[in-house]
Order: sequence, then C-alpha cells, then structure tokens
Amino acid sequence: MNTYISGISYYLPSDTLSNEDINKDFPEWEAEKISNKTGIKNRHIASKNEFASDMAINAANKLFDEYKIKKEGIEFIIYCTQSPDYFLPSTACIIQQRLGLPTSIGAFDFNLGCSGYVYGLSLAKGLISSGMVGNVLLLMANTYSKYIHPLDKSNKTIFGDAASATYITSTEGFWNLGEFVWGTDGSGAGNLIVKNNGIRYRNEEGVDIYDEENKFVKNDDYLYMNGGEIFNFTSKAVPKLISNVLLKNNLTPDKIDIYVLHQANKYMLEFIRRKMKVEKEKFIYNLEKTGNTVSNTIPIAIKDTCFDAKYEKIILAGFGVGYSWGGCLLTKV
Amino acid sequence: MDINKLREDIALQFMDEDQAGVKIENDFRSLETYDSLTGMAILTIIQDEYGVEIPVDEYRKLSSVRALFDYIQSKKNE
Repeated sequence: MNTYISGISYYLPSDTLSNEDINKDFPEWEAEKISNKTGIKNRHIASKNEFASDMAINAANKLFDEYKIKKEGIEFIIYCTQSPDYFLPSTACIIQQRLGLPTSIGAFDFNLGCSGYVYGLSLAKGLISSGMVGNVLLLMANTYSKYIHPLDKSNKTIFGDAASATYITSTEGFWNLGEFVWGTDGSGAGNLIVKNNGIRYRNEEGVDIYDEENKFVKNDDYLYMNGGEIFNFTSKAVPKLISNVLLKNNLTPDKIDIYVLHQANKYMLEFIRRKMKVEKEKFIYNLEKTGNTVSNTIPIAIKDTCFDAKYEKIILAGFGVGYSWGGCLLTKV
Repeated sequence: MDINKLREDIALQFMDEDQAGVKIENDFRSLETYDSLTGMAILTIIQDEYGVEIPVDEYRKLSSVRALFDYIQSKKNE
C-alpha cells in the first residue's frame, strides 16, 4: 500500500528575534556576520504564555483549513516534541481534545529533536501501510527558546520556535514515501542536552559556568550544545546516511532532484554539501526567516520550496540530538 | 603531499570573502570570518583528506597553513 504526504502547514509565533536584536545584547556579534555564517536573519519566538501544544494546534487548524480536511476523519495523532506540557499525560491526548477530534483515534507523543520529522513519517507509514489506519496527523512543535540561557548567544542565534502539521494518507497526495534509514548513537547524548529537571536530576540546581576568558559556557538548567562535537558527528554521519538512503531506494545520486536536510545552520550544510560533492542548486537552504526550528525545519523547507517545484525525487535527512538520525526518499505523485 | 592543495582545502572552509586571504605563511585565524566553526571544519577536513587527527590543544598552537603542513607531515612520518 502506498503512503502519501497529502498536506503540510506550519505555524510561527508572532514574536521575533532578529540579528539586530541579538547585536544589541551582544555588540561583538554583528548582524551581517551572523547572517553570512549561519544563513539566519530572523527567528520566531514563543511568547511567555505560548507553549508548543498551542502552536501545534494552530498548525493543525491551518492544515485543516488549507486542505479542507474534515476533523472527524482523522484516525491517529503522532506528536513529536521536546517541549512537552507535562511529564504526563502525553500532550497528544490534550491536543485531541483541544482540536475536537474523535475519541476513537490513537494519539501519542514521541521525544526526538532534529531527526523527529523523518521518524514521524516512518511511524505514520508503518501504521498506514500495515492497514491499521487510513491516515495520520503528524504534528511537530518545539519551544527551545524557553530552554536557552539569557547569556547563551550561540544557541540564541541558531534556534527558533515553530510548529508544523503534516497529513499522511493511503489515498492521494503530493509525494509517496519511499524507504527509510535510521541511526542512533547515545554516546553523544551529553553534547546536546537539557540536563536538569528531568527525573534523574530533578533536584539539582544549575549554576552558571564561565571559561577562563569569562565567557558563559553552560548552566545545566538550560540547553547545552557542544558545537564542536555536534559538527564532528554531523560531518561523519550525514553523508553516510544519505548514501544509505540512496542504496536502500536503489538510486544513484544523479537521480535525485533535491536534498532537503535538517536546516542546522548554513555553514554546516555547506560543509556537508561539499563533502558529498553535490551541486549547490540541489541543496535547500531555508534558514533565513526561521532559523533552526529543530524537527520543523524539514516540513517548513518542503512547504516553502518544494510544492511549486518540479522535483521528482527528494531526499530528506534529519540529524542531531540523541545522537539520532534518519533519512528517506519522497517521490512525486 | 602538496602544500598548495592543503592551502586550498583550508581556504574552502572560510566564507567567500576571506578565501583569497588564506596564504601559506599568514595567520589564518586573523581573518575576519574565522571562528570556532571554521576551526572544526579545518580539523575535520584534515582528518578526512589527510588521515591525521589533530588534538584541539595542538591545533591551537598551529596558526598558518605551513605549520599545519609540517604537523601533518611529521605525523605521517611517525
């Protein structure tokens, strides 16, 4: 049974953080320099009282409107977030009620970051191709901004908040989901982490740590990213992931029209592209207005760049926190 | 091993406007767009293309293409 992407919508919070705003707090970082290196000019940031679930609901409602999807026909919600409302219950249950979806549906959360979209697609494909359901509402939402320390200029520069909704069905759509490849290496867990306030370190209190030049390094209550290690992991894992996706789909690189990778930052994407020896025109760069929105970068990039294009074969690749990575092929219907 | 090829490999890790500024003898860290990401890219490319892993502490002491070249040569001869 075929499985299709039948619609994608996304939602961005209205508050924004521009390079000029960052420059005001950190004069040593010029706006133009930030945008040249990262490819990012602006990010959207959830307001104090706006949470990932609220954003996911907005994205889902946009999807229903845009594609004339009847709520009563939805059969399953899969919600990917690293900003859950509560330890329990699963936020997907709350979303079912708030969206007014039938109580006969299945719903659950899963916790992944930048690889989340590809994993979500694969879960949806599993449910649909096995004949268990006819469609899945795949939601992604994150508010990393709420995890970022006020002095952490690197993470502030990179990450933005967003939510997306993807409708996956067995009947008709824009792209058919091909074969998937996954990867996991928990040895990198400490390199991208919010350590405190989970069960293991629930009672710890983070302290600000500075280096010998008095620059802020980390506080375990907040998001920590070891940029060097992440770069190292990515530069090794991603080219291999993509060649494995090609192999699994019995394709050679010349058959691929476009590569939609997780939009980590422009410099890293360029490094990967050069390493893979892929032409610039075949790589999507879609960071300027939204930054790195974690599991949302791929659906946002598809929505912004692929719907009106004539790409027949698209490779998706997500990678990051975990470490976790995944890739797949989309074929135009 | 060709020092000009190494210079080109290092220069490619810089933003366009600084690539021509990477010479064999000058301090590439003094270029405008050099930052820690550039450093990671240089270390990764040396590992991939030349098979030599330079520890970060050692790398900090090497500031020109010539110095990197000499370091790689010495490791290859070990």
